[in-house]
Amino acid sequence: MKFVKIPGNILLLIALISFSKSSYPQSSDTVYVYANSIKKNTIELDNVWRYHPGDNPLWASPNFNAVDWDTVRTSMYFEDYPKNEWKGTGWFRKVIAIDSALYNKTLALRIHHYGASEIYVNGKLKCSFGKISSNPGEIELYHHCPNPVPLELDSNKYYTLAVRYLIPESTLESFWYSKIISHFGFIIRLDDLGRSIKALEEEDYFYIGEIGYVGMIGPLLSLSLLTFLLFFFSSKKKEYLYYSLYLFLIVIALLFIWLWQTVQTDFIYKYFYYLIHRSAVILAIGTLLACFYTIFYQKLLKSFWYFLSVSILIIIYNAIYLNDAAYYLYLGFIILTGIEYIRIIVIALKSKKRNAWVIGIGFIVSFVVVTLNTLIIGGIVNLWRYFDLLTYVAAFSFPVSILVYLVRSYSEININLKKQLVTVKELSQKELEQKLRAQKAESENERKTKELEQARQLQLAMLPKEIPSLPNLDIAVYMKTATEVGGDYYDFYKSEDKTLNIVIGDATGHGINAGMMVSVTKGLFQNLAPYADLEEVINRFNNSLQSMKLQPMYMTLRILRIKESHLEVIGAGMYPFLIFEKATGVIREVESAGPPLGAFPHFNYTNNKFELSTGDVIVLMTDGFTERLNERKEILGDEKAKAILGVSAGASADEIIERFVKECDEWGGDRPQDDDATFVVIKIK
Amino acid sequence: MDVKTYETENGVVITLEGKMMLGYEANDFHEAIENALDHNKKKIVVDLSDVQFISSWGIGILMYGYTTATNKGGEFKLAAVSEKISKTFAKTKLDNVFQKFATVEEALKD
Repeated sequence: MKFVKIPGNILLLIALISFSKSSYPQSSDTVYVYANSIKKNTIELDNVWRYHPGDNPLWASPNFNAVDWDTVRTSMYFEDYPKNEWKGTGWFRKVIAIDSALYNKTLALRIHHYGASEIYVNGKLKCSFGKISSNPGEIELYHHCPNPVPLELDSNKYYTLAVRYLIPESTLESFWYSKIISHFGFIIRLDDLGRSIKALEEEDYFYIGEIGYVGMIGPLLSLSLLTFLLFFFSSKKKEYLYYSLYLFLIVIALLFIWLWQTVQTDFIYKYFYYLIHRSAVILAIGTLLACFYTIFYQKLLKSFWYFLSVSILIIIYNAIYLNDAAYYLYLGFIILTGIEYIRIIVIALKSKKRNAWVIGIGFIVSFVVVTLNTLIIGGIVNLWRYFDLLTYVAAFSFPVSILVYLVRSYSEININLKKQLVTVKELSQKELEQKLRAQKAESENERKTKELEQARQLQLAMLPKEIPSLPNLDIAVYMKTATEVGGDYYDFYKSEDKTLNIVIGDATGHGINAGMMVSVTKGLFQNLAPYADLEEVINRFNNSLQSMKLQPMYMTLRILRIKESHLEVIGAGMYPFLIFEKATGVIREVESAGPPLGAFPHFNYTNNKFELSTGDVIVLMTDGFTERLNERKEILGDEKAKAILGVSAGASADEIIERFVKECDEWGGDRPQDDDATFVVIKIK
Repeated sequence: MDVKTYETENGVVITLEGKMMLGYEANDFHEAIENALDHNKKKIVVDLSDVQFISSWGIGILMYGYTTATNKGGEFKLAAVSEKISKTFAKTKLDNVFQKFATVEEALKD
């Protein structure tokens, strides 16, 4: 065991203090060493030694009588030795008497040391540690546990051990010194040589030296930076920030305890280094708690703020006092926080929180190692050589497990993100396709609307620009096209002999095809109207349309021919038209002669002839009027047409149409018009 | 208006479901007829039991069905034609063009 251990290793420190405070059986100036007893046990010589302050080479001699010297223990507490006399240098003497069985044998001196010393056996310098000099600049201190020093025995019974000892700092009596060094001196044990060598082998443990510190600080600092960058650039999850801070504080704690170790005499630095170390440990413990709360509760619990307040109070107390009470507060805080860690982890494991087992394993490893170290310190397990290595494992297993947890969570988040990204991509693709479809449909609609508009324009272009004027006829026309072109058509052809040909028709379909049918009909009508025989006109019409194969479009058509008072009419598939006879007041319905044009070749359409008188009214209309639907999907009906004509026949052609249109609109209400509605009204003057 | 088709031993029955045959069902109806003829189903029966009103466009559709079927050596029959529809056929001089039957079964038997 080293005389001075790393104070950061708390449990070891406690053990040291308790060890140095232990009392041993008091005996006289002379220690008797028996062969049997030394074979069994190491003999502690840290009992009563004769002591004298100052420096005198004669005091090494075995013949010098030191009986009037004070008696002290060689491992002393700062407050235990006589400060008035002590000037930093003194001599210690002890006499050993050996059993004759040990004559000419070799024993071993095992020494724990703090300061500089020269050890004399029977007046001869046996060994020295550090360098004693009256010139302070030349003084060298040795704060370690040297190898066993062989003590060759001859046939003498008595051996005088005289130790010239120097510890300059002890005279400073400064505040800082007393804060740091509670005890000084040396311990010499007498041991069997074989056993001491064996013990030396056992004590050949993994010491956390300079390389050890660099080995810890380097990776921890890198991890701290890495997790901070993860927090900063990617996750924005606070557990990464807390973990990064926790590692950073651990690095600070390690760095300052290392500095504490390297500084031997500058006690003010030593004091602050230690204080910073302790504060960093406290804050690291608190930060780890914040990390745990964030991991398992997604927020800082109220208890965190209690822990934080207590930790700050302890840091302040330590800064002011740094005494045993401060130390126990510090220790108590560590234990309490440890219990809280256990509570959080156990609850997380019980509720099977995702990846909690990773931290659980880290904690268990850490816990087992700390327990093992405690057992080593307590002397229950003899594994000193692994003490520092185990400390190393304990220091790393927990942070590493948390790191594994965070990295797992991070990668899971990334995997989930990737999955979500795929889903989002798929959705975007679908959305894009839908959008494209919608756009396509929209452009298709636009195209159709445009086409329909063109069809409508075509249909309207086919209508006569003006109504022919004849002295005996009052003619009025009206057409209201449907949303979709309905294929209605009316036209006039006045021959040279003042015969007026009137045509009204309706293509059996809607849209562009209906528009086309209208234009074909117009062409045929204008060409066929001059024919003298109306039946020939309609039959040619039929055959021409049929030969054009415009199916599924057909044309319903009615042609009237009026010359003076003679009316000749022929209809193909059109609803009956109405003639109001003023003389009788009768409204006559005149049916078509045959089916719509274009379907049945060579159908023989025949005409009807009438004589007209003044006041008679002819009403031609398409089914857009009679079949006008209202909002309840009811049709207007042809009876209504008769009724309207009955009450309006006395009016002008325009007024009669107005009446029809008004009735039609009122019936339809808000329902869009399904078909074109066309009227041609002729009143005989 | 929906156009539903089912096949029988020697033909197809096209049922027009909906009261108003306004013409918007033209594509479905034409497709059903052409499909039947392509599959050598020569007897086409149109079930009009549901139809209460037929527009000029609707009439054109039936005419096209009739001419297509008869031009390809098939038969085109109307079943369960209501009085109103019959009147419409009469007014447009189509009552002598279409073969009409009281029921689908009768049309199929013929």
